[in-house]
Parts: sequence; C-alpha cells; structure tokens
Amino acid sequence: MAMLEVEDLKIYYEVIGGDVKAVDGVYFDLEKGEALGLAGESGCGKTTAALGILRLLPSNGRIAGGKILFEGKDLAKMSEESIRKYRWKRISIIFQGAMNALNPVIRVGNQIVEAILAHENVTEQEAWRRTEELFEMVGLDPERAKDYPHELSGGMRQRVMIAMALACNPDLVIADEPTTALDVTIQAQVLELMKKLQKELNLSLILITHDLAVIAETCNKVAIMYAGKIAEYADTYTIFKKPLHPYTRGLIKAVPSIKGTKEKLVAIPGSPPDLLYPPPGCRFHPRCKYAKDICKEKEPELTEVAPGHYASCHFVDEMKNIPF
Amino acid sequence: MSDDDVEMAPWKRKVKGFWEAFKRSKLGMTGLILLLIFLIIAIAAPIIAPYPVYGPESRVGIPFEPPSNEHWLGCDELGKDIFSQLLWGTRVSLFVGFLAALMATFIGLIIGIVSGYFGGVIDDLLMRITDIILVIPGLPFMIILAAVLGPSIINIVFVIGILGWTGTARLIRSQVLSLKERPFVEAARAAGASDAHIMFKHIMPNVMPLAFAQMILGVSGAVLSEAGLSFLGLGDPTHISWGMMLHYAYEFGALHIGAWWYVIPPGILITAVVVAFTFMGYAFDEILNPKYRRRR
Amino acid sequence: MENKTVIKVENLRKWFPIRRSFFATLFSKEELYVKAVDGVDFEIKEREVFCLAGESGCGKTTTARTILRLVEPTDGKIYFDGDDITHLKTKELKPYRIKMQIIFQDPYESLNPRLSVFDIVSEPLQVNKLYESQRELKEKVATALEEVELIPPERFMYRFPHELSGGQRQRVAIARAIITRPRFIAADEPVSMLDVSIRAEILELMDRFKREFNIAYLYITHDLSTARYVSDRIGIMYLGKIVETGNIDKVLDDPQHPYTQALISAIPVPDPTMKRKRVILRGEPPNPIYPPPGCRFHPRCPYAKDVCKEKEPEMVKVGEEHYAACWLLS
Repeated sequence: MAMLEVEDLKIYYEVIGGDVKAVDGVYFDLEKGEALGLAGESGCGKTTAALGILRLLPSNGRIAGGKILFEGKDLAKMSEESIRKYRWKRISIIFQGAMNALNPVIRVGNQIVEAILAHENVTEQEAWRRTEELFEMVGLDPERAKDYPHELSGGMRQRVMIAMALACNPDLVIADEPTTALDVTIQAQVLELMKKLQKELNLSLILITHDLAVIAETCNKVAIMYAGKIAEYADTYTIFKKPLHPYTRGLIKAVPSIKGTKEKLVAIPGSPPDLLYPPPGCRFHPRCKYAKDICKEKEPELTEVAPGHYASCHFVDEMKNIPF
Repeated sequence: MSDDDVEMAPWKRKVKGFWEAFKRSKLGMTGLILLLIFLIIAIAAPIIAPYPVYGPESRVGIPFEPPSNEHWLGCDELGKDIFSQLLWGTRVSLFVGFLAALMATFIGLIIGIVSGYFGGVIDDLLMRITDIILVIPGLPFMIILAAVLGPSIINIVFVIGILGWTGTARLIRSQVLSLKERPFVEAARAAGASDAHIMFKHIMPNVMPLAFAQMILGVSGAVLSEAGLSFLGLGDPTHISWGMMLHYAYEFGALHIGAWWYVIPPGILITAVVVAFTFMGYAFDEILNPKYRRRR
Repeated sequence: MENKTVIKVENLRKWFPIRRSFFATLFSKEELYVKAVDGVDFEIKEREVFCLAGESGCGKTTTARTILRLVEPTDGKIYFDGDDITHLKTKELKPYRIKMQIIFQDPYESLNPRLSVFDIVSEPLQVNKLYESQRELKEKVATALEEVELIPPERFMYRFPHELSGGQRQRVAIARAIITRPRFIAADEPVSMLDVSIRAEILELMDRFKREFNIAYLYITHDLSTARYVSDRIGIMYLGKIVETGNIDKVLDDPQHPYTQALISAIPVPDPTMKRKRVILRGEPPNPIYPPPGCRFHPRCPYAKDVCKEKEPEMVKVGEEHYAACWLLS
C-alpha cells in the first residue's frame, strides 16, 4: 500500500446559490520518496485538494466524500484532535505566498523555534539547535536566524519557509506554487534545493503548480486536473511525451519552451467552466475539439489505459491512434 | 449571469447587484425598515398628527398632563400634545441630519480626492487644515459658531457640516492614494487623459460607495449633534425638533415633577434614528468598502 | 522596402530620488537615487517586436513607462518617428499619446472596475475628442471589440470587468490600446497573469495587429520562453542596463554574456527527456541604489576577473545582429 492514497476525494464550498464543487472525485497516490506534480489552470481545484489533505479548508469548505488514506488511516474521517498529530509532524505544507506571511516583527529563527516547540516536546535550546541545523540544510547562514523577515530577500524567505516545513521531520511535504513569486534564477536555486532535500531526506513531495515546466524537471509523476477532476494521471514521461487526454495534449501544446524547435503555440479555445454550474457530461467538452454527443451527456470515468496511466475520456482508445 | 442581465443598462445592474447584497444583511434591513418608518412619519406628519403643534390652537390640554386616551404621551408645559410634536419633530431631525451629512461628505470627498491625487504641497496644506479642524473640540466650537450665527435650521446644518468632513476626507484620501497607483489610472494617462478627467471619471466612481457609506454613518452623527445643540438652547425656536423638546423639558423642570412622558420618548426616537443609520451605514460599508470585498 | 524606425531611445536614464528621513538629511548631503534605468539604447521598427527581458527590478517596466512619458526621463533621448519627444510638455505630447499605447500585465488591475467595457474602450477617443457623434463612437467601439474577437460586441459592451474572464479582460485592454490605431504599443507582461491554455490566443491577436496596423511592439517580460515565440529582437537587462541584445534566436540559442547564459539555463523546460547543464547563480541582484562598480554583474559572475571590478564593459559585436557587454568578449 502506498503511503498516501487519495480516493474519490470531493471537496465542496458552500456559497450563495449552491455548492462549488472545487474538487469532485480526485484520485492519486504517493509512495515514500516520490514527487507528484499536481497541475492545472487557476481554479481547477489543485490548491483545494492539497489543503483538503490536511483538512485546512476555509470555514465554508467541507470534505463531501472520498478517502485520504495516509499509511492506511483515513485523514478525512479523523477527529480534529487526531489530525493535529499529523499536521507539521508527518505532513507539512508550504503555502502559496507563505514567504510573505512571516510575522514581520519576530526574528525568523524564533518563528521556527516556536513552530518546533508547539509540535514537539523539546527544550528551547534543542529547538534552537535544530533551527540552526535547518538553516544550514536549506543553504542559509545560521546567523541569519536572528534577522527579521524584511532583512531577507524573497529567495531567502522562501528558504526559511522550506526550513519551517522541515522543522519536525515530516514524511510528506505539500508545496503550493513554491516558486511562482520568485525570479527564474532564484526559482532555479529553490527548486534545486527542494530536489536535493527530497533525495537526501527521502521525502515525499506534492508540488502544486500551473507551470508544467517546473513539474517536468522536479516530479516523478503528474496529475493533470481540470475543473475539479483528474483529467490524466501518469508518470512524468508519459504525460509529456504520450498524453492521451485532449486537455493534457492541449495544455502541453500551449506551453512554450526555451529549447528545442519552435512549434506554433496553440491555445485551447474558451475558458475553464464556472464550478457552481459545471457543464454536464465531460467537463472539458465545451473546449474539446474531439467532443461527440456522448461527451455532453455522460461523465467519463478515470480508467487505467496502461499500467500506471489513467485518463478520463470517452475516446481514450481512439486518442491512442491520433498522433500527439 | 443570465442573458437578460446583460441587456440591462449598466447602472441598473449595479443597483440590482447592490440590492441583492443589501437584502442579505439583517443589520442593514433593520435599519432600512426603521428609516422608512421615520420617512413616512416625517412626510405624513400633518395628516397623522392628532393635534396641531404650531400656533395658539396647539394648546389642547392641561400643562404636564400625563398620558391618557386623548393624549397618548401627555402634554408639555404649555399643554401641547407631545405625541403630535414627536411626529412633527421627525421632519427637522431628518432634514438637518441628511443635509448636514451631505454637506460634510461633499466637502470631505472633494478635499480627499484633490489631496490624495495631487499629493505634494497641496496634500500637505489640505491635510494640515484637516488636522486643525480635527483637533478643535467639536461641541464647544459648534456652540460658539451656532451662537455667533444665530439660531436657524440652515445655520445648524452649516455648523455641523463644516466641522464633520475631516474623517471622510482622510478616509477618501487614503483610498485615492492607492487608487492613483493602479494601472488603470496609468492606462488613462497613457491615453492622454487630463488630471480632471482621471479624478472625476476614474477615481471618483471608485470612492463614491465609500463616500456614500460615510454619509449614511454621518447622518446619525448629525442627528445627535442637532439634538445636542438644540438641547443647549442653540436650536431654531420656531421649529419643533426632538432636541428642542428635550431642551424645553429640561428648562421647565419636567424631570423634577416626574413628567417622564416628556423626556423619554424624544430620547428613544433620537436613539432609534441614530441606530437606523448606523446599521445601514455598517451594511453599506460592508458591501461597498473595497477593504472587505474579495476579488472574484 | 525598409521598415521605418518608430521608437528610438538613446542613453535613457531614469533615476528615482529616495525620500529620506529628516535626520538622514542632517547627517549627509548626498542625494540617493534608485538607478532603475541607467543608460539604455535601442530602436524598434514598424512590424517589429523588441523584447526587453530580465528579472524583477532590472528596470524593464520603468523603461517602457519612461518611453511613454508616464514618468519623466532623467537623461537621454526618446524619438518617436524621428521626433524628439523627451521633453515635450503635456499639451505638445497629446498628438503622440494617441499613437503610443500600453497593455498591462494584470487585466484585473488595468481596467477600472466601475466602468463598463464601452467606457473603457472608448476612453482614448473620448479624451482626445476623436469622434463626431455618439453613434460614431459606438460604431468604433463595436469595431474594436470585433477586432479583438469579443463577438457579438453588443453582448460585451455594457458589461463590467468583473463579469468577464481573464482572457476577455485582456482582450478589452487590447481593444482600448488599438482603437486609436497606434504606431507603438508597449506590452508589459501581457500574458503572464493568464492561464497557459489561453495565452497563445492573446499573443496571436497581438501578432495580427502588428501585421495589419504596422505596429511596433515593446514586449516586456521575465518569461524568455514566451518571448522566444513572439519577438524578433531581444535585449537582456540587468540592473538598469542592457547586457546583451540582438536577434532573438541568436541570443537565446547562443548566449554570450554570462548572465544571459545563467538566465537561460535556469529556465525549466517542459520536457522531462531534456537533461541540461544548469548554471546556478549565486546570490541575488544587488541593490540598485549602490550598483557595484565596473561590470554590474561581477559579484555574481562565475568568470569575473579583476578588470570586471573596475571598468564597465562596452557593448561589442559578437556576431551578425548580436551584441553583448562583457570583458570576456572584448
């Protein structure tokens, strides 16, 4: 059994006018030491799915169904008290824009020490020693632990956030757009660091991003989400080289590359649906150039088309014959 | 959004959207219903008041007559019907409240926009004036000004309005400071728009809701100020207002002789109007203040 | 036929003075400046896209704002169609404003949320009195909306920005930019806030106007991958200066300046089979108030020599349509 298994996860937000089905039947799993990329456009539910794993949803959000099995235990059904034992200690999260959420009037080192003291039964001295180790681990001078957040650059603050996420030796780290706000040269430093730490500490990583290129360079497998559902799920090579779902194909054709031949970029017409009123049938059908009548009526199942390769499309077999 | 909505004129959709949000605010709806009741009373006072309140024929009962079937809330020191006076008093209180708040908001809006948009010396100058007015103790200054100008409703409005704009000006200015840095202002400038065009076409519509909410909140302050000034004897003696009623009640010792029906009802009404506007002001603020609104 | 030069800048500088506290001014007389743009030269021809690329704070956006005279240049010259517009007064600038437009990064921020699409798109015509009647105004707006493929225009004209998707909003911003038939458009990260799947459409739209209306584009971006598909020439900026410039393919496929090399190698590639050698730059760009002496890149440069710390390198020709400023190449 995998370390993390997410099965048919459904997360709805209650708003005026009904439920927004932000996550509506999501599956993926993760072994120890693996890195999974969760990709999709804005509003596809990738962040919600990640927050849902730790049950850190906003007050109008709820898990409406499915299982989140972490080492066989269902986090979705656990009491608030027991899930607190998992947060930070076993599973930690680097929030989107978190580097700007550091408390500006507390030294960064103290913020990590506090986080350690809150979760683990250690003395303050031990916590400080651990903090200094963490700073070295993420490539920061331990002296900088005495700095205030504004004295650090964006890249350094992001390293502090990574140090904080690793403070209690978690097994799984969820990183939500960890490099989006950073410049490319700094992004490269941070991604390199994350790859190194993942290997050294045998961490499992869920990387949430809209940037497929970042996933291609960091992850072993990829789940492509569209409108709250998994469109396609496979190892990284298959997703980028032999995708079957029309959405995945469209997305990859739309991503520019700094290397290789300059093929024309092709947009996917239209824009993602309003999840308060998702289209019937396959949610991608209004934008899909292969859509037939059945796509408007029946929702496709996520099916295994090859070992480890899943796609949810009625015409997945036909797609095999259409060259990418 | 349905297709019908798109066909509607833009302002109609704005109003509709606002109303949809306002309807959901319990606080706001309570305030609105209260206000509507007061408005009806103010308009219909001559019809619904059981007795006249001006002139010699208004002396319809015995001085300090306690509440009875003929006089629901008794009579004052001259034997005038208090219930009828309360109904008539609504007019002056609302009139002064609205007009003074309108004046204060208008001054605050213009000063806030000009100050925030131009910045520099103009901003420094206008903000120092604002500071000076802000630190002047309000009530004593109002008393002096009202005493100098003489007792009339318009003077009361003027006194309240001229002192009440500082908060609005500061609030609007801070909003303008952030608005003028937004790219849409730069886009307008790149298109060749003048300062006046940018201020009135781009900045003003964005601060109007805030100014509106400020005005509604301002009404309750103005109603209170009017009551205070009138209570101190600086009101217009030719018109009945709740403050004036309290003034006469105090002057003729209504409390000493236990004529509670002369003191408590005006107090309750002043409180009710203030509460109504405050509730609405909060509701408006919540809907219209960009600070509370999330991007979709 | 040779295309005409539309925009030309020479030695452009924009220094922002720093507001200092009262006490600081007591102790030192020295005026401090953020040297956002510090000596930039380039020209853009008709139907040409010149890309100005670099990391945040390198001065690329300030360059565009200075050319459009949204901020006052500190030094240097700006020519539009051969006319020196560097120091024109507001009134004298008006005829040029019509011909120069800007598209911003964030379509949520660049459209006034309180104005309808009609008000937004018609604004350049309204403030410059470029219409005879309301009817004509409405027709022109309708045409512009059709040109940006918001069809039918009547369905979009009276909507508000929040009722549109991100892509539609950016189309509205483009409609506003092209309605006066400009000769020059500065596009500041026009697609970076949009979802990947719709970026290509917006870029295609811009490309079409370039060909139809002979527009010269200044394309500002941090995203070299996208720039590669839309630009003809590129200038790589670092700390207020262009360090390498030339034909887009030549610069990106065979970068000569160490900074350009590092920048390109840092960009992730959406292809898991492509293994590349990565130059990881140390540190972060220095403070633009105190740029390092000599070559500005030397503190982070893996190949820095003594001369780099002392003298600023000149721009030298390194190939056909390809220039770079580095002591290694001189």
